[in-house]
Amino acid sequence: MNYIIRKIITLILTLLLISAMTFGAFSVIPGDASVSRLGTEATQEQIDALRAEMGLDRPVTERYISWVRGAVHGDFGESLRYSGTTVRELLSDRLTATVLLAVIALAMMFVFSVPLALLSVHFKNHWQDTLISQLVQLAMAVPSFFLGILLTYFFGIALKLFQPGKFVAPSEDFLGAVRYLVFPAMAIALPKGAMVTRFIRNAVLGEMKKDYVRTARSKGSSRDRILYRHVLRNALIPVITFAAMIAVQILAGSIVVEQVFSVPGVGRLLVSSISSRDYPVVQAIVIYITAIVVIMNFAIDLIYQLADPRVKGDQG
Amino acid sequence: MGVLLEVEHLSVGFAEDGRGKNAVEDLSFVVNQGEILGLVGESGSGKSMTALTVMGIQPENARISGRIVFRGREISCLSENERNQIRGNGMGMVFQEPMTSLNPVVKAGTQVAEALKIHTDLPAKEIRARTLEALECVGLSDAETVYDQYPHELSGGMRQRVMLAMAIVHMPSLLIADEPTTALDVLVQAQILGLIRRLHKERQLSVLFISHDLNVIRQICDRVLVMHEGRILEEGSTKKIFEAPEHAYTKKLVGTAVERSGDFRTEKTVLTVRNLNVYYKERRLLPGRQKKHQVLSDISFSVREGEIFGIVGESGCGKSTLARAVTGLHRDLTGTVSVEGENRPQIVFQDPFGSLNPARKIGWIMEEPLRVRKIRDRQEREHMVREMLEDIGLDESFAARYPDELSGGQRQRISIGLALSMNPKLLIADEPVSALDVTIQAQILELLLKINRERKAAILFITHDLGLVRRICHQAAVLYEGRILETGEGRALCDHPRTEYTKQLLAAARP
Amino acid sequence: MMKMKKNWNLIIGLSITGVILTAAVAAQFWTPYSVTEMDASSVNLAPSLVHLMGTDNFGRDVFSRTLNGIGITFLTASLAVAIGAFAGILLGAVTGYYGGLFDELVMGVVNMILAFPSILLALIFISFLGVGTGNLIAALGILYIPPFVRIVRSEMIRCRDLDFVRSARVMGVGTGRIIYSHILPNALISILSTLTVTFNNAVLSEAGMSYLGLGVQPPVPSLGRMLSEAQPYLGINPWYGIFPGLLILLLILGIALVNEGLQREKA
Repeated sequence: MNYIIRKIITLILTLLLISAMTFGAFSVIPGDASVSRLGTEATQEQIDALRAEMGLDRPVTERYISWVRGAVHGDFGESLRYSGTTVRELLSDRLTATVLLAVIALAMMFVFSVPLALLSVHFKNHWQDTLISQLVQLAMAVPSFFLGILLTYFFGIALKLFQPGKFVAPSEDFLGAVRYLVFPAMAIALPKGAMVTRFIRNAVLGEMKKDYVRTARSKGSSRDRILYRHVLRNALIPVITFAAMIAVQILAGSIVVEQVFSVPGVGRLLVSSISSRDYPVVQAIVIYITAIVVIMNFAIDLIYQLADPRVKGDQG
Repeated sequence: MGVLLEVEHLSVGFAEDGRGKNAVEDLSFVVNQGEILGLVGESGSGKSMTALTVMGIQPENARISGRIVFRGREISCLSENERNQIRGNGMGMVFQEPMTSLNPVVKAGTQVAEALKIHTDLPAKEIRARTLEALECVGLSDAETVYDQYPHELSGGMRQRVMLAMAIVHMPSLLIADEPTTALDVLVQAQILGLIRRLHKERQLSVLFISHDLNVIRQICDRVLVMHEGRILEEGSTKKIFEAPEHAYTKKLVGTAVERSGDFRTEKTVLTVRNLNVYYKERRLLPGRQKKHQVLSDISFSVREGEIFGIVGESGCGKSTLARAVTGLHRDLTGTVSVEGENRPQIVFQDPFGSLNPARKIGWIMEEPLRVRKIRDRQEREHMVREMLEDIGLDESFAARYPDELSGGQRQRISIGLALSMNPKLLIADEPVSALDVTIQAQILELLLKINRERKAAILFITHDLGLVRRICHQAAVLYEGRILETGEGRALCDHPRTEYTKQLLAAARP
Repeated sequence: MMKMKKNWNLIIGLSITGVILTAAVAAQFWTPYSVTEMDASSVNLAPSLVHLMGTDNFGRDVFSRTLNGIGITFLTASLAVAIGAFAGILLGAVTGYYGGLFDELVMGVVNMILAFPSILLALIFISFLGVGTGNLIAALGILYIPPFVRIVRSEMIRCRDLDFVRSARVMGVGTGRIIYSHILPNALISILSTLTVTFNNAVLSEAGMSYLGLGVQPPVPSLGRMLSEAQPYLGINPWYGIFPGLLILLLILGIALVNEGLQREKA
């Protein structure tokens, strides 16, 4: 219990720290949203007037505190670029697309990576294993956005299985959205999935070399029994940690792939907001991603606590 | 009394071995019912490989030829499944390292019960009952608690008991024990040996006992096989092997008892330790909660020039800490440590594998002390290194090699050479031979005695072996839990021990 | 230390990388066609003997631009990695050897940075600093300090309690020398491995950022930007998009094989 409270405090502190840092950093940069809205031709008076209207002339600390107050209630302010739209509205639309994409990619990844890795282990030192390893090597080297372009060409243009750029919002046509997202998900899942496959393979093979496996054999344990009752229990711990890391990368890092497939997700929003200096939006997205990262790390810690009895000992 | 296990012309080789020698070469022996057969040999003798092959769990790339007959049935040609039925059933095995040989994330009880789960159809309650019985049988009186504990929560001795329980829970006829006591403290060793003897008597368990430690073999085995480079060189009853060995190698193995030849001490004192208390701070982040442990209490002794002073104790008694305090490596102390002469005492460590920098060539490593001594000319340094190599009995070609190309004994020589390069008046040897093969031990001890003789270097000799103390040390002190229990002249201390602890150590050293 | 078996991964990896590097350097001085000159009559041509990789929508020779572009990729990645390695090794050595409160703080920051996906951090950095090659190198350089800190620190921690270090201290070897001449050589292969992995990350990041328009700016050629320029023309001239990407893939593969080779040497 004590432990959970400490972790929650860490989460809150981290969020505050990161948001303060980004907030502060953005206010230092010359040229804010008022300039980008009015353009370079605007006069100083026009800029000042707009700034006063947008509340940009107040001191930094005051603005930050009012931001935090709003944030606690889920109010992240108004977009500076799309006046009249709250950040929250903007984000929630985009979030569905990004999260859906991430979920599909993760599902694809696990459906293929785990069995492939176990196959590799089963056929250790035979040609099947070598083949899988080489393919994995190749897949890991492919940049995901290049893969995205290739997929767009083959499946979109050549085979006409989907129309690149014509993404339909999930709220309107859920199945259609999923069908579309399959392709960007592939672009993400292939290189990352390859990493996971290799990691699992190495973790499992590494465990099989250990002494306790020899002991299990000396008791007459069959290979399968050893694998499932002994090795996997040990190998699972680092594998889950690694998988969580990958999940974070997928959730927060599909930025470029979204661009390739014109998916209106959080990543694209981030890029365009940075270009147009729409700071409230950037702020909110940064917070979202930070929250994911910290929560994931917390989850990893928790898994370690539960799964590895050695760690439990240290805490007590 | 019939024959339980018969091994005929067993050979085990590896295809990738460029040496062309097999790990096990044309081995033939029997294990009779009700006997404890010892398999003794140094590292590389093939004894462990023999054990693994009998069990059928040798490495995958091993090539086997020959026959293994167990209980009258040939098992060497059986399928993996059939072999599995014998393992944990007719034959059980115990390994050397109990920490890594147990699954860290599975409870002890579950691991002990596994053989029953695999080989029987008994209901869970019955399995648990038998498991608890086995745990009690191996001396773990609090069986219920141990059942639910994880390996890291148990001490080394307890883990080894769990291993034994695991091996015997399904009443095998043969127990193969591969260096079961090597990783344990001397006194715990004695307990585990006693346990194996008891199991042998109570359950009519035949034992194939493998070890490089002659003392242990002598204490427990009825018959002994001497292995060297994959072959059996000699065979006979324990009494015969130890008292009347025939083969030259056996004689060397059994008869190596290096002794100090003379007394080269002078009146000068090189080291005086007075009222030494040494502390360890735990590495804690928050300054308020730093716990201080006292590792050594009120240590006082002195060492004369040319004296070999023994510090006797088991692991955890503080002997390594003492070594560090004397060399200045550890500063958190009160009391005085005064060293005569400007040269700091140098130290030779126990583990030859961590004591040399694996990323550097021997030549570079040996030039370091010379660089510290500000000898700037490279030619001169190289010359001195060659001289030192000769002094410690190694060829000058060693300078171009890396530590991982050297054997344990060779590395120990280099460590000694390094220490000597600083011309110390006092050399601290922290268990310098415990990790070495028996025949190599003799060589290193001879080297140390030579240094003592020729350079009048005092040696602070840290060991757990009272037998060594008796033969080599002028004076010695027994260390227990950070305190000196008794001091005395080497031979006298061993012949007339005063404290109970010393008597126990003595009993463990000599069967 | 060198095993008898040939390390194919290392050999092939180094060969591929070497070829690409040589071509990249050569392309800085001479290319079959000008990198920037446009030719309205040769727009969007498929690969032929005249234009080995075809032309883009402005009529520029793709082959020349691609080879030239990979030079920038190499430069950016190398500089970023160099910054990260230099600062990271220094910091990792000091914090690993001494430990204490300083170490806890450093590792707190390091772990924080490592937890975030690097594209995101790079984006945020660029949004502060503004776009441009120099800024990109600086941003990536800072991002790549943590992996080196981690690897060197872990080696320090592993070795500082080993007997050979104690030996050196008893002999009187100075702490600086112990850290850099005694312990660090043990980390050599790990450092080299981290260099390769980080290099690949840098290549990917630079390409990704340039694709988004936030990396290397025109007129400096960049493979990532070429990919984004090629995208609208995929239907007409897919080759324009394929070749730059293929080259990135090849480079990453080469470096990854070198890394594989290094891992074998370590074992």
